[in-house]
Amino acid sequence: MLEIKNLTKSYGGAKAAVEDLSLTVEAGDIYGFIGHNGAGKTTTIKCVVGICDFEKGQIRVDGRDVKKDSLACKRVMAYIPDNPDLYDYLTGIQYLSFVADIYQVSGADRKKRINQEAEDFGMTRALGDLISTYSHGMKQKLAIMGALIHSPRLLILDEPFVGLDPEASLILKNKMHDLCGQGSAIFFSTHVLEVAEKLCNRIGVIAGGRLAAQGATGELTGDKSLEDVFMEVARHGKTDQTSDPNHTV
Amino acid sequence: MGRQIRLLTQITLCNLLGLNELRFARDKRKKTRYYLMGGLGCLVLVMLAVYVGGAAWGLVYLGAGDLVAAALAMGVSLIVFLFTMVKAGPVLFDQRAFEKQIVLPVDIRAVIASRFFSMYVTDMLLGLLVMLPGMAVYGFMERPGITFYLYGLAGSVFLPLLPLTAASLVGALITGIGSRWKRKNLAMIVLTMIFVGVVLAGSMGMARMDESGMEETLRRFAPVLREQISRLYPPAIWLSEAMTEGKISSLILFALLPLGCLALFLEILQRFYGKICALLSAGGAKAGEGYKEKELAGKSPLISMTRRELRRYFSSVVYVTNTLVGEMMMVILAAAVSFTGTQAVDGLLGLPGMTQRALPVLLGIMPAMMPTTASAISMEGRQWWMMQTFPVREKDLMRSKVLVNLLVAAPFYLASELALLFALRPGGADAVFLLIVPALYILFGAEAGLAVNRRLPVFDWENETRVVKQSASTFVMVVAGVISGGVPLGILLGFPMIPARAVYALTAAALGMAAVGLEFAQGRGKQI
Repeated sequence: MLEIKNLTKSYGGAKAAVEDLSLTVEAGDIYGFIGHNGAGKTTTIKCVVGICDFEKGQIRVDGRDVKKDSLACKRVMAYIPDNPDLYDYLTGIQYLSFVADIYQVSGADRKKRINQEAEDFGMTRALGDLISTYSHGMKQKLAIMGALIHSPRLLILDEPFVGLDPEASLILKNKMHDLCGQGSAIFFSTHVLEVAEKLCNRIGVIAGGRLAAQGATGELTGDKSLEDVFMEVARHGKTDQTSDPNHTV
Repeated sequence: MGRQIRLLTQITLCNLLGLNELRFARDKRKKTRYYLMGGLGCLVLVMLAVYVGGAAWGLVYLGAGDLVAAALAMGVSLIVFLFTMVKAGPVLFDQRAFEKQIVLPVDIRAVIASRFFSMYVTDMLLGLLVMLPGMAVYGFMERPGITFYLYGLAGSVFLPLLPLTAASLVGALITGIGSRWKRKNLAMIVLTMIFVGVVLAGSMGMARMDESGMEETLRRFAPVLREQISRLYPPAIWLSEAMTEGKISSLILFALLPLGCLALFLEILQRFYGKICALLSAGGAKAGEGYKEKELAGKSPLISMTRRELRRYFSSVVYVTNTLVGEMMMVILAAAVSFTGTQAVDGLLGLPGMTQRALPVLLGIMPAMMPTTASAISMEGRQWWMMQTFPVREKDLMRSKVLVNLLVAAPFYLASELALLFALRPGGADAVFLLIVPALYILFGAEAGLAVNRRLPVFDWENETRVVKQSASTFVMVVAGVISGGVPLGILLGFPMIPARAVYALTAAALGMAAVGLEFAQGRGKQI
């Protein structure tokens, strides 16, 4: 579903923010992308979703190149940034309707999905209000609703659980499972390692712009916690589970 | 409190003209944009200096040399008042900045004063840029004493205070009244446009020249000018007296009046400031009432984006008020011609026969100079990521912005044209040119504004005023509009032997081809 090959991205001639990164996310995967601050997580995500251009490498979504076939790739993807700046001058329902129009979701489907998601997230009564009056958590919920409205094949999230109350976090996790059950894939970055350990079937650890380790969650951690693995990578640039940082487990 | 005002003003002004960003930015494209803006700014300053110097020379030549300072002071005051009036409300009541500052241990009066002074500094620089060339020319021709220059420099410091205070008062009143309404932004937009329209129409009425004939007018020029300035703006005469006659009492009066008005204004405003800010940040409609089913009706992506763009446009007071001024001036000109005739308007503009010959071009220049598209991409701001990540065709996105420009201009264009066609009843070809030349100017302005903003976007802004009034793309469009109108106007006025219809036809052809070419180029650039 998502294939990143030898991705390299620098900002203005400085040291590469992401260097020679390769990873794959298959249909049905919930892939957790973890790393320290400034490791290159958000840069990687922005290259995938089309916000940033990149110098080297290739990114394919559902078999299509994101540079050559960007519209087709975007049609099957959805992205939620860590701090969703939405259109403050729209109401919640206007925003969702707008997103549904962009993704050309039929009237019947959008009505059904919006009603369901609004009820799940407790946003029904708030959808008629301006987004400028929403709290951070409400904006986050609205952004998630907007991302799910067209049932994306690939859902990309950057720190999705920040600002969500525990109930909303649980709802989001359930929705992620449902989406994967339908054959979609999820790629998300997070600092909450416990969530990544429980939720993800595959983990990638990025450090200094390079993929330090990746693999199935259980095999990557072994008998250690993900936190221990993360700290090993932070200290040594690799985990003891493998001598090759890019070795896929 | 003085220290707080200084600190808060400094933090706002440290990025005056984007200088702090230029100093620390590593993005080469950003730096190039700043240098381009700086170059254009220098060019405009030179043109301004030449114009002001020429005006000063003309006044001395006509025997009104002692009114140079007064005329310049009145001109600066009018410009400061008009331009500040539309931005004062959004600057004084900037919510985002307010939330950052009010949590600090600062007096609310310091917050208000710092915003006022941040506007004052830019207006004072403008005042100096106008006064200095005029003073230099007068000084060269009349050889006044040292007090002329000393009092002139001192007066320039106080010059913007009174119009700025008046404009801020208007802006605060409009914001205060609008904040109580359900649809705050719409209320503020309507109130501001009514006020701007009244001021523009009033300015045109006051500027009417004596109809007794050019020679007689020139002979009585100095006393007529003095009488007009005394009537309209007495402080300008005080400054003139101080500079040319060395009257320090006049200078003191010129300084004390605005200082007193400012102190009074700040004292009154700080009593209502908190309440107005609270009303502004409160939602308009009753919260939590759900939504209507009809909101879910499906539309094409282009229509959906156009609707979104329209909502974006009308959500911003400064965006609307700054871009509709051109259309309003078009309507005012059309109304003036329709009700008073072209000769009366010639008197206003000071050039006999100009209106009759150049009407289609005059109508078109004004909306072309301030299109909504000149800042439409920048106004996406921090929400630009959505257009980058949604499956949106670049062509549809750009078209939606052009469509909004055209939709906004349409009612003003139709009203102007209907009035003129009814009043003037032009014949076949004249009617056609009267219709298509302004329309093509509007279309050209929309397409050109978008093309310029695509090359010079600014997304990391804190205040919409920066994007709408102070960005490189809006500046470039003003210049482009002036050139697009100045060339045919120059031909029409400078070469009376050339038939006007030929000039209209060539102008229409050039504008049409440019607009089509720019539209064709949309969507051929890099992906969003």
